[in-house]
Amino acid sequence: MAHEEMNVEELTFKQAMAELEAIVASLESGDLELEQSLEQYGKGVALLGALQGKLDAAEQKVQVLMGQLADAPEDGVQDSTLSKA
Amino acid sequence: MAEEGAKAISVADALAIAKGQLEGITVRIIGEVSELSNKPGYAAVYFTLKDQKEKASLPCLVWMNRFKAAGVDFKVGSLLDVTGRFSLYAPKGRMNFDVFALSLAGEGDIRLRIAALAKKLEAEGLMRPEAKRPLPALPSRIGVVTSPRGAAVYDVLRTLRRRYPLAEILVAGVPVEGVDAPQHLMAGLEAVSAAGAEVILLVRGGGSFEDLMPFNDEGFARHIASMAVPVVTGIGHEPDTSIADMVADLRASTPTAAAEAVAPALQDLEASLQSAGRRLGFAESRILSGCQRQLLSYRTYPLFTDPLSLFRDDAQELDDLSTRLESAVPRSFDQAEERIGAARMRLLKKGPQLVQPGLARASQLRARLEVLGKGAVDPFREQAAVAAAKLESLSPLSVLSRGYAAAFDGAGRVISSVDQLEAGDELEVRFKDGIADCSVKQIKEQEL
Repeated sequence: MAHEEMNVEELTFKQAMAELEAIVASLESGDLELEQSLEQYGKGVALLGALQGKLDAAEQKVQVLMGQLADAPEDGVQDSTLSKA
Repeated sequence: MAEEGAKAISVADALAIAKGQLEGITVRIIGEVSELSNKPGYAAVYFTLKDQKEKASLPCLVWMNRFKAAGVDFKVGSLLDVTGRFSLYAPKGRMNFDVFALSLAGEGDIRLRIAALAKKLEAEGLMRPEAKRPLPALPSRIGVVTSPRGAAVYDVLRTLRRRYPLAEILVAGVPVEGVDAPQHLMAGLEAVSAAGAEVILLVRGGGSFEDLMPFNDEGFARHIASMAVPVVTGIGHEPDTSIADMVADLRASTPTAAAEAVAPALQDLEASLQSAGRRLGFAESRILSGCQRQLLSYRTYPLFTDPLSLFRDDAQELDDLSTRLESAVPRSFDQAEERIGAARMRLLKKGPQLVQPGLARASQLRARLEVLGKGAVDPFREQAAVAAAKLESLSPLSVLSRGYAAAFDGAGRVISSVDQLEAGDELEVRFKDGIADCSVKQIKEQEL
């Protein structure tokens, strides 16, 4: 893999998720040497932490490219779709 | 109030008269559909047309082949423009309006054009299931093309915030109604795509049929189909289906549903992270315990518990061999010595026996040879004596003793003729008692 020197913080959520999946799969395959498996495990734990951190800290970022958004409705306002349905 | 003297007729005949009168009348009617029965397997579609203002309703039927040929999709409340004639169903004594042709009144022809466009685009393959692209699983950037006003954009933002706050939302707020709306919508698609959106939500809230017309624009539909990233629509509410919905990669019924379709729920993500964590830990501990088990099993190997046992067999064999060597080497030397001694003794005994016959035979032969030898020599001795006497009488010496002399040349040869001589030659003349060296003075040939 080309991610040997990856910095988990620099990966997108999807990349980190895919990397974690690959690590879990390689560990589950049971083909790894003990040292390799420990290294992969450590990497997996780091990825897991980074992913959880991203989820916990995630704040929606909105970038308006065109137009001017009207004022946001009150937080208590129900989903218009649901209210109409 | 039958006519006086008129002849009574049967029900069937009466209905036949009415039928004949009715069926000659062809009319065109516009009315609202109030009841509708379109069941698979039926020969005709049955509906009722009514006027909203006056209290009037007319049961209608349209034979299935004509209904299909018309290709008009109407429902209760639709305003229909129908042409047909009255007919009478004798078994029930019921009048129907038999529809030959129908179309939607008012907006109806717009719907026809849209349906035709849908057919055309479908024929071109823009709606094929295999042309629909899969949505990215965990998009980092989600584009939203919609009106900047109204509830739809906030429905989307709220839903994405709730489910998937990880994604960056790129919003293109554009006019979604009016003649220019398709151009703005296309510009919006391009803008969010250029900004890196991995999937685009094309949404707007519900509206009237006319309000949704920009989403039935042919150019816009083609633009959607040609986008490099998947487009998910959430336009209006069911059951309005726009052309944009048909060519999109996924059609959701509402903006909220569209947002849900592109974003995994946060709790699902949490769950899959937890599951990954569990699998990670389980897999590693399985590897570790496997190594440990292996180590333990190695520890019980004799190699580690009793290393000397590895050489036990070899040591024993070595001992065995050395014992055999010790006992084998001296015995073989003794045997060899014994055998050599015995051989010498036999040789000593046998040697004389071997020589004896040869010696005996040799002395025998010698004895015979001595006897034979004596016998062989004596006769020769007698003959030799006789021969010697004869020789005595023949000898020149005896002639010389009688007074004769003999001449010899320098080489000792007898000179028997003067031809052998020349004047000056040296010669010896032998007498019975000596030799005179002479020289030839002259030669005179003369017969004696």
